[in-house]
Amino acid sequence: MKLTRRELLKITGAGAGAIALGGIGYNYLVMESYAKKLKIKGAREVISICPFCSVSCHFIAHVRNGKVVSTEGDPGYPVSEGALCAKGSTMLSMINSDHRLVKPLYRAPFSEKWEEKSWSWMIDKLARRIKETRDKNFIAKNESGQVVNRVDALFHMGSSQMSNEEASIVVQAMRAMGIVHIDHQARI
Amino acid sequence: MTNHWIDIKNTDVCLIIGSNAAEHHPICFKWVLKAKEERGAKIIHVDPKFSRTSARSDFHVPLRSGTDIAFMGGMIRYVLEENKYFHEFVNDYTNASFIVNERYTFNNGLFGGYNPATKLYDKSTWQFEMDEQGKVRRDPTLRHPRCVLQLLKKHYSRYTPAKVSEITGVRQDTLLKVYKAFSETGKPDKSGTILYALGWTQHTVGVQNIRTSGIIQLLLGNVGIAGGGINALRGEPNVQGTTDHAILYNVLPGYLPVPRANMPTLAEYNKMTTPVSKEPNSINWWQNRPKYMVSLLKAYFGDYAHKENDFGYSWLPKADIVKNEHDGDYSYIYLFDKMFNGELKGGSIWATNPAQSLPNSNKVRKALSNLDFLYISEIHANETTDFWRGPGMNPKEVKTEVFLFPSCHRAEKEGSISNSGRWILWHNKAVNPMGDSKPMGQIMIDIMNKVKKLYGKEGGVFSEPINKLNWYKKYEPELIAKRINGSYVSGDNKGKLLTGFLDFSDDGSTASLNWLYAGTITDKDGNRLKRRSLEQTPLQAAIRTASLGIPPGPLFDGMAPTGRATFPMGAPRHYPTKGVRAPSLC
Repeated sequence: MKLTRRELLKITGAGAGAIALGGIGYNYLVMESYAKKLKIKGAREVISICPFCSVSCHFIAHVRNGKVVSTEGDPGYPVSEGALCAKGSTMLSMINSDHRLVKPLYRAPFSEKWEEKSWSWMIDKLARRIKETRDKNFIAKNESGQVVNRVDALFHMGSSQMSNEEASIVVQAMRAMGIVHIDHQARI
Repeated sequence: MTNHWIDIKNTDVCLIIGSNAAEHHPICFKWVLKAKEERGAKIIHVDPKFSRTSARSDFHVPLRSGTDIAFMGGMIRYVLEENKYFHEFVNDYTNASFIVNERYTFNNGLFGGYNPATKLYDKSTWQFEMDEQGKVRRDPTLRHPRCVLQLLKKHYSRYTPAKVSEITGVRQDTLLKVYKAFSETGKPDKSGTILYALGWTQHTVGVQNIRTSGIIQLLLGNVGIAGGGINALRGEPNVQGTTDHAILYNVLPGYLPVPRANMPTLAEYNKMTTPVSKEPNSINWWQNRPKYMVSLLKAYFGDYAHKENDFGYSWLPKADIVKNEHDGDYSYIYLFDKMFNGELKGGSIWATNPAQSLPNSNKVRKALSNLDFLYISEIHANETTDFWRGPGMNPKEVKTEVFLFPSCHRAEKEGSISNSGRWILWHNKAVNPMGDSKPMGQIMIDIMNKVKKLYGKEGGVFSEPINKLNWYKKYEPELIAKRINGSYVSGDNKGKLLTGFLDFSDDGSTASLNWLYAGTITDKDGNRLKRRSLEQTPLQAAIRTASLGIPPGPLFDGMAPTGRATFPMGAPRHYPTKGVRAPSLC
């Protein structure tokens, strides 16, 4: 089909420009054919929150076949009114990034490399380490003879990336283990 | 922040200091610009370097890095000397009229009670003068030489424009321009707000920087009004929540002081941490602290916590009393210092990157290499996960055993976060975690369950808090959110969710992981954090009609009905703006 320049412009980007200018002379058929090419066609919309700064702009994740295919600002969030900054706009690339860690990795003492291990292997070994270290270094009383029941030798660091629910149970677990060296990004 | 993102639009003067808001909190800046364009607000940017924030401000004030105390001190002096403070507010709502006891001194940069050996202050000489009934003595005329206002005036009299100029490197006329502009907000019908971020906090005097803003805003009466306040632009999306839930060494969830070695029983803890006030008008909300502490212990240890065992109080670790710089301080920098000196054996780093963020990355790497083991939860490899082969490291000499757990992305789990304006917001799960990655919550649950199993089977040192922990099998955010909210665990209301601060008691009948979050989930409304109407609003319908000429309803046959108005391309613009840009194409 031979397209005139006018027709080509109508079908592609300029069609959108026409809508922006208040629908003057729009062509519904052009819109419909354009819509069939949209990558968010048939997608489910899920509202999540950007993990970059504490404005906490909401974004809409378009999900198709179990994969996020697009992200955009959520106009329903009163602070952002649908806008996203340069960081938030990259949400899609962060979710689908090649750099994502997808397997548990283990680095043995003095090793020069990472090894892939199963979750259960990692958790078993780690729990053993934690118990050994806690039992060996537990302080029942301090130098002044006061009961302190803590483990100075263990520490916990992070994270302000955790949700409220995650933070709550992490603090509960750390305190139960007797850990006092606890801190995260709130303090610088 | 004391006020809110959107409230910034209500201000008359916006002082941005220690922040580059346009670049680091870009979306908030539209509210700053709204104040400027719609109210004629003055935007002042105080920052050593000129940036995009400065470009949009009315004027930019460069100053030497680290001289904020002097800069703000000069403003305090100006406000007091020029009588710009809001008299009624200062009289009625601050401690300006309180009289300080006569043992208070300040000489040569040191307050009274300084101990050079421990480098700590004995603050008993700083207390207010009390009358026979235990109430603070005041002078409502604010003339007594030892009333707070007069002491403040005397203290800040040293920050003359000439002195401040010498310290900060800012010209005197510029200083006076800023001071004059901001102190105009001392008028009852004017408001001024201070925006700060890590440009203020990342100093050893960070707390003191922010303290100056507290003094100024109270003097000018910019507290509790629209467009006022101290708007701390917090750095991460949920640092507010994680501060509330206390991933911190010095507090327990809900800002309860961490128990210390000189508080062996719950009664002692309550006595030493619960303030008492004889003032008839004082709300003294912290008098309720015992209720929140008991409810926390009940949430931590469930049925194992009861009155006879102090609700499990002895199972919590006790921090040492702060005797000097190193004792009793378990904070970030000291933590790494101790690690560097080989005092720490192992631990965890979750979703944070000290090898990049802390000032001395070489020291961090060396410190981490002193550990026997380290477990990390991260979304991608970084300087900390791979510290053992970083610059200056020879892996063959680094003994640290490293467990790296893949953490999933926020969009792959649901839960709540709290923004800087202290709104608690729910995020939903869009897709399953990529590969074998898991939510951090699940990772913690799995690790703790294994630790519990080992202690249960083999016994061990002081295993009670671990054995009796009120724990989980699976990471279910909504269930945990309910436990955070709290519920009645005994009595007539057993099983009902708490509706707010007033429902708490100290007899063990309530349990809550954080009293501040009570009322977020209720029996009546369900999960209020999820409240969201997906109905098309009249405004959205109007925009759609105007831009497409199509009445409300599904747009195209091919598109899945979503129950909400979606716009064919990009996000809608709420307001007609000059220079309309074409909507972004997906």
